[in-house]
Amino acid sequence: MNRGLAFFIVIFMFAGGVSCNKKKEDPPRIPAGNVIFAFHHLVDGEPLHKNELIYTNAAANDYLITEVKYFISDITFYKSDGSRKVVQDWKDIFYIDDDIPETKTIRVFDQIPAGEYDSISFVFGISEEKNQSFIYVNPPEVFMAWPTVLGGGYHYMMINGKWKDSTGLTMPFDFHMGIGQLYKGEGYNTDSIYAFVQNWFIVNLPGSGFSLKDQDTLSFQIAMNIESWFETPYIYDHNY
Amino acid sequence: MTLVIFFVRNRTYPGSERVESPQPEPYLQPAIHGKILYGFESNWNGQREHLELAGGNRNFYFRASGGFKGYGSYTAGNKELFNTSFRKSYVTAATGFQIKEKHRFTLSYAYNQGNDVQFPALPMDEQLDKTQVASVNYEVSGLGKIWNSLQVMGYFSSVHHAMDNYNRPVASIMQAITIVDAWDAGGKVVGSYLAGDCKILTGLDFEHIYKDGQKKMTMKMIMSGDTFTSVKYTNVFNQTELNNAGIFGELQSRFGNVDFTAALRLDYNQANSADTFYLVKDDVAYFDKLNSDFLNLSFSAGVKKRLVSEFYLTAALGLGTRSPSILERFIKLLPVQFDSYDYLGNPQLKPEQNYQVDLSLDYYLPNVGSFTVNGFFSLVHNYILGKIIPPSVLKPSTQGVIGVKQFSNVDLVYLTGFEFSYTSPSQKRWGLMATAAATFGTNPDAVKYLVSEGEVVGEETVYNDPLPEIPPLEGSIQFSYKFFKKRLVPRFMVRLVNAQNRVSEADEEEKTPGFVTAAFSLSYIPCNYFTISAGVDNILDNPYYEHLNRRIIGSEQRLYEPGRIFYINLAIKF
Repeated sequence: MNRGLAFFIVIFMFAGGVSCNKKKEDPPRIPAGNVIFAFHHLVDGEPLHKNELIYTNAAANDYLITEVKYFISDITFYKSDGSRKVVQDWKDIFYIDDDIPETKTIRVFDQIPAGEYDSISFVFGISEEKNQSFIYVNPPEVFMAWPTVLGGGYHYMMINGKWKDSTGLTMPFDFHMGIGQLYKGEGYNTDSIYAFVQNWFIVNLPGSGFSLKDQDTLSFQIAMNIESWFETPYIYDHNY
Repeated sequence: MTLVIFFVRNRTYPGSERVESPQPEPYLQPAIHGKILYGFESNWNGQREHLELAGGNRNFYFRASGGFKGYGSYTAGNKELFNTSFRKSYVTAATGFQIKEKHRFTLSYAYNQGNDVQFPALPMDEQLDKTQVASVNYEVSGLGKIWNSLQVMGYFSSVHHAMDNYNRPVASIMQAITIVDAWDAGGKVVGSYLAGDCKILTGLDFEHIYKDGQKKMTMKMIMSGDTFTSVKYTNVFNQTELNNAGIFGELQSRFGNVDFTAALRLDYNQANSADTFYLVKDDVAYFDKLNSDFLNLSFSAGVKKRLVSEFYLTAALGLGTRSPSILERFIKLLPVQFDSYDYLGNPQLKPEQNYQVDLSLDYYLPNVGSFTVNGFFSLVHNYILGKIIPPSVLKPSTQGVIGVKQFSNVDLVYLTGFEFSYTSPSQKRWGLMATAAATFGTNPDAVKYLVSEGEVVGEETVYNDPLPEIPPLEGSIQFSYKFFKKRLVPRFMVRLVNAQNRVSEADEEEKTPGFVTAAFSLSYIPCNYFTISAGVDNILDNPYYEHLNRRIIGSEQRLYEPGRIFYINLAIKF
């Protein structure tokens, strides 16, 4: 949360069940439920309106947003008894793209054991171990590729847009996040890269404790406050 | 040349490997003969050229040929244009020696090269394919009263295969090229002898297969005005080897009016790989122990009994054991089956065991023709089938595919089916052939993944799910008539294919509509040296696709077969 990203969470609960085509006895099942995450992109508390120059950041830059896309991974549920459940039975990395509505809802494949949970966390981006080049070869994820010479793998996030510069011209910006590089000497020649910096981080969702009953389905609403990327922890001025 | 020792229906079992190479025949008098053939097919601008020379005498004889085949894009019956290409050229040479009476020695070689083969249903094309087959064969027959014949044969083949996506739109995102080299070498020794009223065939065979291949992926990215290129090399086969040694025997005997045949085969099968790829997740081993070896037993027994007149009943039962192939064991992330998935091999696959019963009725009347009806039922233990593995375990590496499947053993499946055929007597001026065949397969416990709005959200068991990729009921009728002492023969053919509605729910296999195609041909032999034949396929220009045709990878579109094709073939023989 200290990386300039603000998430909040609302929980809805639905009673539900999984359809089943049973004809003979299955082995005894462990009490478990389902979880759905729905992602929302907000600016100043309101739903994002793309391609409209209606926003002003903390550095007083007027700006608009054209694209918001990012990865989250390793969603983890922490139980009150100290145990935890990592979402990985089917997918462990999720791509979210504001232009592709179906990516904004994650229907978790994993059966989450029923019980009391303290909190939920996830990795914003992809952890070093999993962020390998060429793990995605198809659109849309392939468009997030990050050059091998710069650390490889995939962008954690792309927020693209435009801002009105100090002369009044509307200029494009690419606010991208991925593996960082440390350079020897001055400048940014790729030959002088001597180390990489893993910039992925864990988001602990505030107030995300919940109770899950057998065969229930919980729906979590998660919001990204986009303006927070430009002011937390530092104010970001597109002019500099 | 054919190495058929033990055959079980439906799948290729050990000993049924087929290696094609030209075989020369001796001439009683010194002679030399030739054949020149040219063929043209409309729609896909098909061209065939073939030149062949054969000659020799009783002790030395040869056969050599060469040719070219080329086809282009075609229009299907629905008027859709499919971009395809196929260019193959080939040469063959073979020579035989009769060392002494009944002792034959043959050497043969064949080379086949394919270039620029475009596959409309795949995300890649064949840039180059070079295949060579060489064989040596020694045969002796009529040895004596007990030993009847002996054959010693060896062969070697090599394949160099390069596939790329350079001419595909997806290449603008990522370029990929896969190059695989494969060798296959083997041989057999087979002898037959008589023991009383029994004829016994026995022998040994051996096969060694080696495959090694690599995929290179290149991705260009522009960031802040700079162009970056990322390259990744992965092995699709890493020095993989498979060895199979078999010993077999077949007994043929007659008890009264019953012919009895029994066969037994024992195979030692071993495979390994130099893979460094290792995939174990949450204590599930997907790809780890690379070595495997099996001792496989196969056997069959059958009887043929004349019931009345020319009415025969044949019954057989057997066990055919098939070891997993080198591809099923070691392939890494290529779309090698009919569906839109990358496939991962499974080094720890177990052999398939097919317990099968066949029943056949044959009826022949000289003035009516011959009828054959047969049916089979088989239970296959450890049936090898692709099983989806989650993207959290492994993601695909081929553009356009939707996931990864791994070859896995299904505990038990069963298949049943029938065939029918009728052939009119050859001495009649009219000719009629009719066939029908169908196979039905069932998987008692299949796993289906539940998808909601593009996301896999759960799984369930589908009981008695049809096996995927089974062709539907199909029949054909061919009618011909011989005019002018067989010099002019018109022939009309109809192929009727039923809809395939019996599809796998677990695999989300799509149903396929039925279709009918008709064809007509006319062959004319004005003199003994010249033959001309012409015809038309898919006369009605029907839009159709086979059930086993791939869906075009990266889309929901089905691959249609060509529409109407006119063709002409000219052949000169001397």
